[in-house]
Amino acid sequence: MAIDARNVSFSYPGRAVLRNVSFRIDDGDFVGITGSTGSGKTTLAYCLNGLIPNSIRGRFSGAVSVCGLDTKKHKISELARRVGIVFQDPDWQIFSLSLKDEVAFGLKNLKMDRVEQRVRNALEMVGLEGYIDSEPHNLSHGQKQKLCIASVLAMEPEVIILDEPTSQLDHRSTMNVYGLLKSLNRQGKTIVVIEHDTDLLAEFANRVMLLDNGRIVKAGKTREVFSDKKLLNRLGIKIPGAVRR
Amino acid sequence: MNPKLKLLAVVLLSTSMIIFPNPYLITSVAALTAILILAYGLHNKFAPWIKPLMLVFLMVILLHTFALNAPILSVRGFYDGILFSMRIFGLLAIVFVFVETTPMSGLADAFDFLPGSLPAVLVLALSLVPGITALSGKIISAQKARGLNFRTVNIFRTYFPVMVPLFAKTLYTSEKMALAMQARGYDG
Repeated sequence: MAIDARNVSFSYPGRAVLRNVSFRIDDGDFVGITGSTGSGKTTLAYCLNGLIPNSIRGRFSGAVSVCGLDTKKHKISELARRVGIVFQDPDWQIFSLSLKDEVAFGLKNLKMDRVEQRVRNALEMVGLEGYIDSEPHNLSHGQKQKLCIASVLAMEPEVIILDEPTSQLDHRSTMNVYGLLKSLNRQGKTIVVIEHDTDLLAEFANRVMLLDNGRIVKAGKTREVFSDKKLLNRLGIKIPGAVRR
Repeated sequence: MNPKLKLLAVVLLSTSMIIFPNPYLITSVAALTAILILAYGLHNKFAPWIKPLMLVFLMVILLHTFALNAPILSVRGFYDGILFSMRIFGLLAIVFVFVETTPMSGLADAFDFLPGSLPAVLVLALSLVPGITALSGKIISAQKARGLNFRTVNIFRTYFPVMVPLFAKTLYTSEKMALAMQARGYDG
């Protein structure tokens, strides 16, 4: 079992964001989480890698276990070996002055071996091997997003969470990123993607969860969830083209 | 050129200009930096940077000219005013040339002698600079599009609409950056 969340609730002072959320994600699954803005998707992602409850202040209840590790009992740095997260905006993540240093950052924190080789492999996987000594702020937005993915890939986590990884990418870069995620999934990685674009989820995810107002309103196989057109309409979620036809 | 050597040169030249107000030294440094700015083709970038200071230079010269032997105009004062302005120009130009000709990674390398986590803090601060610069440009354009006149004399009318969103976004970004660093195992 990659992720086991039981009765998870979280509220920022004066505002409940997650309400009694429970779900399980199997090893090697490709799961999409979607829902309207403010439905609690990003907060849920923060619960899956221990940022909640270890770093972000608020009221947390319930339990989340990632690769057998209880997020309440383990430090974020311990969880980081098993679960990696790619944030929505690459500018929130990139701070080093070269691609090499950016990718090596997590490896050095976790005192992993073969740093240089891992850095090269990760950059090669996302097609940025030619920029290894470049400064990240000179990259395009799509390349920055790929760099963020590479910096997570280098740490070789079993679970990779991505928060709207392609929200600012063009179609070709989007398909590149999803192609990469699919191939990682085939290699056995568990992928959890928070995504507004239901067409992408319909094409790539095996399972989907719909979030509304901090609750999971439907979860299951992608086609099955997306065939509930009435619910999608009510939540303001786009019905994927594959289902509409 | 090695960034550390460059930094050393900047420190030596700046301090000597401050400590020894020798006219030959000040003139040579100001001329040297002006030549470097032209040689590196940085004049277009330097011009808008130095333009608002022209008024300050003028004030300094006038103040020296008339205040030294008030109320009589003083040639000696005029000469001192020119030197003082050249000193300010030289100091600014040295830093400008250093920053513009050194990549950010070089700037970080130059400061890696600092103790503890200071180099890391510096790297973080430097990494935010391009983002903040780009963001301020976007905010200024957005406020101009909403009719804000940046030529207005009232600085508060132009200052707050730019600084408030810039400050809020920068704080938000640094908070998210801290989360992203923790998510990659940073315990510091």
